Amino acid sequence: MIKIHKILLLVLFLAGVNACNDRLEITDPNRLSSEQYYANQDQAVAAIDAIYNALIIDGMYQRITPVYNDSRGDEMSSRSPWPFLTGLGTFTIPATDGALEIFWAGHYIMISRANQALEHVPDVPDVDAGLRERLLGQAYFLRALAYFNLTSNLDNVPLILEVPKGSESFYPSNANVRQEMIYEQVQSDLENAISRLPANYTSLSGPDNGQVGRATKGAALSLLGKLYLYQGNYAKAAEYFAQVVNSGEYSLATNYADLFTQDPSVERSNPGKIFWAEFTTSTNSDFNWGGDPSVNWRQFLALTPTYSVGDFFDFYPTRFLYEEMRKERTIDGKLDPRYHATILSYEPTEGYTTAYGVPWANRGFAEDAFFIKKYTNAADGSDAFTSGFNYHIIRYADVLLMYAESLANTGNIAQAASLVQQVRDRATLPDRETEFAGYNLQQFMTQLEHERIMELAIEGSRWHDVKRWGYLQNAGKLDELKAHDFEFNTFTSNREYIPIPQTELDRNPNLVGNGANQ
Amino acid sequence: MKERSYLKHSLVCLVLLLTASLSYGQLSIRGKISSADTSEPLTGANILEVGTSNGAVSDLDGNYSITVAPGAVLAFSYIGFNRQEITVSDQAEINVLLQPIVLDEVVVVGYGTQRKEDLTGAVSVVNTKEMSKQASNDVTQMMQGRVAGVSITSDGQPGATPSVRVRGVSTFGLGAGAEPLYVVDGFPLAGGIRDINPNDIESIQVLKDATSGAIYGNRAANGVVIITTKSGKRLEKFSVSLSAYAGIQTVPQRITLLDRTGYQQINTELLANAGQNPVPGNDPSSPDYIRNIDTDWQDAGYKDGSIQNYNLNFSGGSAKTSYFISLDYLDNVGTLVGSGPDYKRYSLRVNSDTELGRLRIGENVYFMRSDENPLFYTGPFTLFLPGGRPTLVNDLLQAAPTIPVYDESREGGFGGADAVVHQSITLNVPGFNSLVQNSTQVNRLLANVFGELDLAKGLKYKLNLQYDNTDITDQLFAPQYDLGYFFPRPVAELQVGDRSSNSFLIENTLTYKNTFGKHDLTLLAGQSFQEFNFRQVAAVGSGLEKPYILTLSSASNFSVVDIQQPAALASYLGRVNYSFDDRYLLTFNIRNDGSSRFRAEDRFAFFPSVGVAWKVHNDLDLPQAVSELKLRGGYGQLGNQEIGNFRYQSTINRSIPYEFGTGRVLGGATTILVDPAITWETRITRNVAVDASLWSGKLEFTAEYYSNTSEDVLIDLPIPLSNGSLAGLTTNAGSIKNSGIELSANWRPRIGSMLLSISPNFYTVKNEVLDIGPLEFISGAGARTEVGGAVGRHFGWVYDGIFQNQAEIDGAAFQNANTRPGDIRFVDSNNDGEITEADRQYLGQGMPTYYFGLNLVANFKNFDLTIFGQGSGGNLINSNLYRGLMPTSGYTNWHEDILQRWTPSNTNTDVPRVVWNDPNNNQRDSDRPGWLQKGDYFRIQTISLGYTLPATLLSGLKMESARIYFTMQNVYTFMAYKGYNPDFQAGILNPGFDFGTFPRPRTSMLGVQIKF
Repeated sequence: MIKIHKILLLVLFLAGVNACNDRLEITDPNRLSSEQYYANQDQAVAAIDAIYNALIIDGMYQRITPVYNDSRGDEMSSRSPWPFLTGLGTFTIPATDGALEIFWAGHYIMISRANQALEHVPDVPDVDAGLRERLLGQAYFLRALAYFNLTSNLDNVPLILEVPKGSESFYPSNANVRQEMIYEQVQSDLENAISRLPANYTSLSGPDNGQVGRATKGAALSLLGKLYLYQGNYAKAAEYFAQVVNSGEYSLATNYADLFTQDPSVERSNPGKIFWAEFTTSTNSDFNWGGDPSVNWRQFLALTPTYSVGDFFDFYPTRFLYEEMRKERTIDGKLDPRYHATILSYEPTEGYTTAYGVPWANRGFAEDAFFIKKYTNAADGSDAFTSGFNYHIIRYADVLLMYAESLANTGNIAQAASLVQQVRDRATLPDRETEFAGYNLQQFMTQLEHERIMELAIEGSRWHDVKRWGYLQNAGKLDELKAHDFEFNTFTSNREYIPIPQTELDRNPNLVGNGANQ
Repeated sequence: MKERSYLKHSLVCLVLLLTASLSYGQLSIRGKISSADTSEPLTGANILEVGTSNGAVSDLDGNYSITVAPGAVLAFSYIGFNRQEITVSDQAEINVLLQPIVLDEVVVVGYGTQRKEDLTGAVSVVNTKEMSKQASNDVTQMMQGRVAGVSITSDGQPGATPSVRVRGVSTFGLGAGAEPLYVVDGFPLAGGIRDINPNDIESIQVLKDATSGAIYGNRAANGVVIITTKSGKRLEKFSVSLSAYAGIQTVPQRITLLDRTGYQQINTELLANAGQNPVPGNDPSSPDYIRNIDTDWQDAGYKDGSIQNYNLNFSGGSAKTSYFISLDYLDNVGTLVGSGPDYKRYSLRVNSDTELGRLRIGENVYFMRSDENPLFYTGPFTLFLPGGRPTLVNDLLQAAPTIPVYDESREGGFGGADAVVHQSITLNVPGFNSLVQNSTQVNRLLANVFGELDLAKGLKYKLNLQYDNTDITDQLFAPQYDLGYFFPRPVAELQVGDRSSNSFLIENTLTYKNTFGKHDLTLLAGQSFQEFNFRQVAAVGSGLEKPYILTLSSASNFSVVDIQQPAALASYLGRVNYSFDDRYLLTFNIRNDGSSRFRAEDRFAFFPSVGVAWKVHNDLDLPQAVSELKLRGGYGQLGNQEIGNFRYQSTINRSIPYEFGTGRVLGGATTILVDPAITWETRITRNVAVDASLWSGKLEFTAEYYSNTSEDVLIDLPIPLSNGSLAGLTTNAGSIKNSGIELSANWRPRIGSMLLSISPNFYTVKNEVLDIGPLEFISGAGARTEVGGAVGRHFGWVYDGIFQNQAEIDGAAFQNANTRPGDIRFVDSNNDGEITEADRQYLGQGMPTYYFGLNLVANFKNFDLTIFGQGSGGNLINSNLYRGLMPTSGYTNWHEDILQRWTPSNTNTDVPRVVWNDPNNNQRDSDRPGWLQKGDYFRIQTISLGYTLPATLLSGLKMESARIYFTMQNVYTFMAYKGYNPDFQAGILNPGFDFGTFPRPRTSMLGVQIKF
């Protein structure tokens, strides 16, 4: 009797054991296994689309990259309560600052996704041959953009070109990396992109047709020109800028103010856009600061509340910028329309009497106060946290001015003058082409500097311009910068770059600091 | 739950012969019946002439009289006391002292019980009777300070769930759980313990080592808290118990803050020190100068809370069955102005147990429902508040006094800062907490049934089936409001979600128990399988229009998340308990555990453990005073798998959005790197102990030494961000050791008619990191974890006084170009002439090194008094709250200590100057005075005075017993700390960082306990 019990139990027990052990095999019901991916054309496209997503996170163009670029220039100063924002412009940000890590991570997220795409997309079955080339071209371009930004701001960063395989590859070294090596890689990636990318996406056959926000050949050419310009190779730079200008793909939009709008139809019809990070007025619940992305992400530009006096008001324009932009009047004797697009101030004689959609006085601002307007919601007072301005990474006016600079430095000041005037014409400024054509190089560069400020103020150019022009090593020029922006008073020569984040140095024993970590 | 009791002490009888009288025929006998323990007279005791129906009952004073035949045997009995028989000779007066029944302390050890004296492992029994003198929604809070080796830190919020650490921290906390396993009535809980009603608890045992915990081994590495709920007893008459209490809660502590003028003065001074103009609101020459607002935010933000609890239970039993029913209601209203935190709980428990020949079946069903308004950041939802806000409490204290609480001109009606006039990022906490409504409703059903069958003599089969179903509905509503600079909310938002989880457990065990001469053997073999399912569906709707209807259908824009978390555990276990002659004891456990969290080839692992004990008192002749002396020791291994699910599986995130101007596309990529070969973390426990009992249990004492090591610690390793992974790499890396001593005692002296019970406990935790894999250290907030030291030691710069003049600055290591007199001089520890990150050093212990508790009970006549206190020490606290109130630069309010700041006329101070933007970074992590405060504290947690109504009063009311009491909780805390709670809840990597916990309220309450 007992035996039967025991045997019965044993049988039940063993049957139960097997059944139970099998039930421990549980695959993640929330996500597809990596092994099942990269199996068809849609997934090849998605692998590329994922790279673009990095453009809209905090570490890249949502906030930190523009903020890092703008705040170090002399166009604006910080009044932020946050040391990570005030310390940027004053060049005192400690290596332990958390935002450095955000900047660093943002770019490497983009690089990681580009590396995944470059590794897998060539082997995805059943992908249209032309499409596959276009996809790979975009991955090369985006990786180049990330490395260009990284080395421009951090000097010698680890050059990671493959998906890490196992723990040995998690700890890359930058000890033997020099900026030239990163420049060479960027150049190679851009050449790979140029040979694969289409001029535009308006008449293709494929799922990317009409998706104008994708990287184009013009974008890659422009970035390669910029890469040569930053290295002082003006001839090569001019060669690539010429290809952009002569492509016939681009022209300047009629109204400068239309470049900074949240209206997608106006944005789309801008013929001068070349490459940008696309932000939208989505009201989705999750912010796109970072973390694991989801369908609930917004795609908002956090630069807007950061710069807006109506929101965080972390930055304000310097008096230097304010005055520089009021210097030259239009042919109608008015302020440059670019002033009105860049700076918010009370200008009753020109019809600018409101802020955030209400009369100036209602906001409690003094009549002589001025604030940042570009990329803010100051025009209409819309919700800063659904800010949908597309952030220009490369635009045609910049290419024209960089082309002009390259030409002038290779002796062709006459053509350079015509390019400069082309940009001025949109702002309805007097025609001074002949005058500029007669300038010597130094005179021309002085004018060009002013023109770049007028056209590109608070678009992340100025800091990199003064740096590549050697102003930081020139005591006289440095004094000028100090006069423009008190934040330069605490500039020290090792701060041409931001420090490599201390936390990253802590995590990676193979990583060494740059000059700013000293 | 089967429970056995053994008689520990044999009958003791004291018969006093005072007078003798000789008589023929019937004898008339008088006497008094009293308790041998307390000498109290026993009212209503039975006196029976054995073999007849002749009997009597003692009166109120314990006196009786009875007439019997000479040579008769009298039996004296009273509930709860040992029956005593006395043969009548010729005495006329027989006074009897009845000995109370001392049940052998029986300990629930998992799949059975054991006599406490037969334990070989480290098991602490919590005195639930003392514990229940405290009012709390949560059982773990009530355990604080009562168990050696168990530290409990908590927050003062109603409905809060404390952190519980058994014998230190043995994980780096990155993704891995450190909380113990709770086993309620044999059921390893999948969810939190806070849903369990403390009034239902009969007993609590804490299993602290592998020998004792092995039986729940696959989740026992952080310790096991075994909770047994009340049940009816066989042959117990039907009884009804009612207990109720109600009290008020206040925030006893006020932080001394600046008022309007102080605030304006300091803010203006710091701007002036940087050559800047005052902000308009603080500038007497500005039209916007604020002169008529002076908000005391603590007055505005705190209110009196309340707590009340009513419990009614019914229990009883017949010869074959027993039952228990309990109904309970708890209502706790918090001390913060606004819509929470508060917590209400309704619960019901029903259990019964029936014997049918060789079969025993029973069930235990618990249902609870709670309605809670938690603080907005404690629920599953987040609400975007810019700037990474501290907790609401810190925001409340930091609020500028120049901002009004109410402002009708702003949307929502509450005041806020202006970007230009105040420039202060100040959250109006009472405003925010009133506007934003957060609610969580929990419905939980916890049911188990068991069947036990006697297969043969000593052989039993038991089947345990358990089901835990929890449904949680969360709702967060944020209306349109304008709380000023930084805090506008132009779009109303409603978040609604359902978290549904269930867990199913099946256990089959066979137990064989037999005695062979002097050999006593118990064998257990078993199998268990537990399955967990969790699904959260949550939606966010925005754009609701006024007047608001709180339904998602009223929103104009939606986002949805849907997450599933299935998991399963399978285990096979065996246990041998062997005892020789009640002198030598051996316990051996072996288990084989499998977890769905590891891939097939790494899924199962074996974990053995062994414990031995020597009952010296049964082996050697010991002095008479020593009634019990036991030496025991144990060694064992346990597995730990407390990480997230699917961490070994590489997946693709296919929801990576972007727009190319033609609508949204979704990209796909691997966003998180994984280590496919993760496996069980192993916890090795070692301990030796002495248990002693002196003078028949008047003094009990346990001393224990433990040394535990965890190996292959599961950690979300922070790999370099250059890998592009959006989370740490979950992997096995590192090793942590915890060692220490635990002392606990219980002394029950009698002073006259006062009976005292004094129960102190003390324990130490020495935490040491032995290995952290490829890392040199792990950073926490102001803390660092490195091999050779404890987890999360404070880390930063060393304070070296205040610069008094430029010459001192020039003579010191370079700190900053704008360092000026009044700034802090830090130590250049590497002597490179510059203060950099490399000058940081370890500044002290973040986690306490010792803990203690003391419970005093005095019973005098009908009064009982309890004083309970507990504390810890040996650590320093890095107070986010205090530092947030002492900024060098800022627009938020200050602690009064800022008035001692350095100025050219106040140079003899350790508080640096105030200056905009803090160029010298005086605010940095350092040991500057105030930054690391002594964490030592002793809190008088409970004073409770009770009065038991005399029987004379009760008999008319048909009550069996009645007690009324007054209790004050959180009476006073002796501490140097300037924050609220020295025993705050903190992150594992920065155990000494008080981010800003909710103040623990002081509770004053009246209660009554009646049994019918």
